[in-house]
Amino acid sequence: MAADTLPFEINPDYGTKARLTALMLFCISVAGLIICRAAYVQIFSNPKLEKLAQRQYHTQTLIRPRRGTIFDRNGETLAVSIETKSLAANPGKVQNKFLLAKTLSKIIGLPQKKILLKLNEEREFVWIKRHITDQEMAKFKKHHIIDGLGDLISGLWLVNESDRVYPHHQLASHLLGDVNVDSEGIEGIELWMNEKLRGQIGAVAAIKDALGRPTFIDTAAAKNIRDGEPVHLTIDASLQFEVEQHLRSAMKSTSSKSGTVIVMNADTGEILALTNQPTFNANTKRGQPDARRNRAVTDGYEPGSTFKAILAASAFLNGWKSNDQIYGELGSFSVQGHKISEAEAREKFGWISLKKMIKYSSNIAAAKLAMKLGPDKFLSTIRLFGFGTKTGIPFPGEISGRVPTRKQLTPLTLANVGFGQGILVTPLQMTRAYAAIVNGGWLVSPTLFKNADLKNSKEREIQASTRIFPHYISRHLIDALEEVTKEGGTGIPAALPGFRIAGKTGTAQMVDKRTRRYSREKYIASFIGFAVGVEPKIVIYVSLTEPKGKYYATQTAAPLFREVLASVSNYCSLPAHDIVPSKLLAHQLLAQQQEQGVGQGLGQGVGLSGLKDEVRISQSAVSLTLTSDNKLLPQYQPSAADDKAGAGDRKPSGWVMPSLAGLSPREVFQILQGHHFKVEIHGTGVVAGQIPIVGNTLADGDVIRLKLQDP
Amino acid sequence: MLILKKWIPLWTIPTLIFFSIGTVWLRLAIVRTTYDINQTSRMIQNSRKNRENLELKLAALRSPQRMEVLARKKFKLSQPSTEQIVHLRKSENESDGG
Repeated sequence: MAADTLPFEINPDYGTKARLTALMLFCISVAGLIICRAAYVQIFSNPKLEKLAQRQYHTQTLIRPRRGTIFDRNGETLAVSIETKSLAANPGKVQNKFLLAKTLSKIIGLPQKKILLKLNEEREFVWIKRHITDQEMAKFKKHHIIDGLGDLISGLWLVNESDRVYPHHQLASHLLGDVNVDSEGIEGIELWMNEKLRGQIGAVAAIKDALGRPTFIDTAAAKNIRDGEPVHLTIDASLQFEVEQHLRSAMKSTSSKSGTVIVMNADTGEILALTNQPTFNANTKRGQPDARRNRAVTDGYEPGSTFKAILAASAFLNGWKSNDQIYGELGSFSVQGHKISEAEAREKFGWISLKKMIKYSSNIAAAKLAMKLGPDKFLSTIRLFGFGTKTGIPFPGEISGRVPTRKQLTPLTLANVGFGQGILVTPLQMTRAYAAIVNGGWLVSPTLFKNADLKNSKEREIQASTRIFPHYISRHLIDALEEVTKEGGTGIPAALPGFRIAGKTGTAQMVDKRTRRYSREKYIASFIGFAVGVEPKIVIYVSLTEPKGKYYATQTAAPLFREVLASVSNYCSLPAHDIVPSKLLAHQLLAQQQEQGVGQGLGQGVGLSGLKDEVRISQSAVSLTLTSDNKLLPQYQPSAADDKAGAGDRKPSGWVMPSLAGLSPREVFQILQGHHFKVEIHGTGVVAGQIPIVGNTLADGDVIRLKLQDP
Repeated sequence: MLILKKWIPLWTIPTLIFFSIGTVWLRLAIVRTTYDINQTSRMIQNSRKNRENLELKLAALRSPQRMEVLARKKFKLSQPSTEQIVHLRKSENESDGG
């Protein structure tokens, strides 16, 4: 055996194999380590890694709840939120910015430069346009900004948002106010009740996609997002509309610069209608800032003669009687060298009672009365009525007005305040003061919300009324104010047939900003009043600023008051009494109609004795009313006995059934109003038969069956 | 044991196929259900939007302004005077709902 030979054979591949094996083992070990590490990462909790992962695909998204709806007192929608889309962009992902800006400019109407500027911003998110309309969406599809599958081109996306819509446009716009582009209240009730209306904005966890857009949100957490609550107002949308129509029409006929009307329930302080002109449409987000002001609470004015009612209240509170006399100085009176005159130079009053001072609106008598009362007593009454302090109406921007201090009340100022100059009040303060007169002396807090909608108990406390004078003073004041609308008074045009109207005219001079003196051309004409002896007690305030031509309240504000009262009486079912359509008496009208043969047909029907019955009935219990088509209608009038029992009582113990033949159901109901009969109507047309027959006595709850046939 | 070893490939393959199909089916079911959920969510959202739009339309249709125009122009009506309006009183024994 050779010495250089090895005892075993060396395989030349052995080294390679060993190296390969080692390499393989190494790789397996590394792989094993990786797998172990991966398993560890996947299986065992690691807060640091979890945080890193969450940052990559988790995000927090703000969810805006649906803004609450605003309703009127009858559930009519006044403001509602609808879902809408807004266009946003990620400028980094947009490819042909110039072309896109050009196309978008055509669709959404924004300048191309402006859009291009936004697309060139170095941000990941820019708004292109908020609240895209349906027409614009259709154009997006037409211009292939949105493809057939509903996806937008790269770099653009649509964000779901909420838009506030006012379905009645300008109706009650001053009350409702407005919201900004993020649906946050910025004016009016939208601002005052913003917290309640907007609900609870919440951040919800969401999973985002590669572009960073939230895709899936935590639905369980999203359920906790509280939508905005509805708000119910005290206003009546239909009445509000009517009132706005009347004010617009009066503004046009008098060429006034602005105007305000307030309709308020004197017992509860609920505002049934409140309107100002000029106005605005919150849907368009346009309009002069001046037109957006709710002048009824944010603007002060010198009330003029309407303030004489407060002076009279002060006099009554200090022991004066309605018939106590003041000397009118025959139209010529000076205080501290300044001449005080009556509204008309021809008015020269001698001794005049307090009642007549109100009726004829004597400035000199008012000035002298204020001076006789003295600053302390008069000031105390003014403060008692709440002037100089806010009424507490839940509405932003209310001012408190300005009442002269005790020191400022020189004899001249005192005399001026007596007839409503030199004091700053708001229309709402005046309305509230007159409400106290009609409701028996209770100073109510005006409100715009139904009780359930008040924010907290503090606001409910504010609502509590305080009694400022006894009931007998209220009666004296109503008597005096009622004279204003009677013959010789300044407020005759405010009188509405069928109602006893109490109120006061006011034609106040305005201060000329240029000369800083009272202008002889600029006036505020106002009328505040109410219907007497009816429920509910409704106070109406109307004012017109700077009427041209005829500027006296008698000629401008009083007719507007009458129109508003007519609407209020219809909507609030104020029971009119003694409606006589013309100055002719009922029997004269009947005689006229008999001559003209208009009454023919009234007596036709089953078991009827004709027109004779009508005559008999008209003499006993039914008066006659002339309808618009000149047809004579019988109407129940309380008898003398009824009057003794109480003028307001319209329920006689027995009622004689009249002939209803030939009358339409509307005319029948007109006759039967005020009673509690059950009426059954069969057929259509006019009354052809009736049970009970003419002459039978009926009591409340009895049934009247009518058979109708085509005439 | 030898027999088992011999036949392992035979039962392994169908089992694998079964589980594979099962996995794919489950995956598809998940995708389909997710799609259905998304569709339903979209439908709910659309229905909500429709409801809001209809509410708005209803409010606009009931608008006093529109009523006024319709009454005056289409039906040739005019505002009644005070004496033409009959106020019906609610009967004492009549329930609120009636």
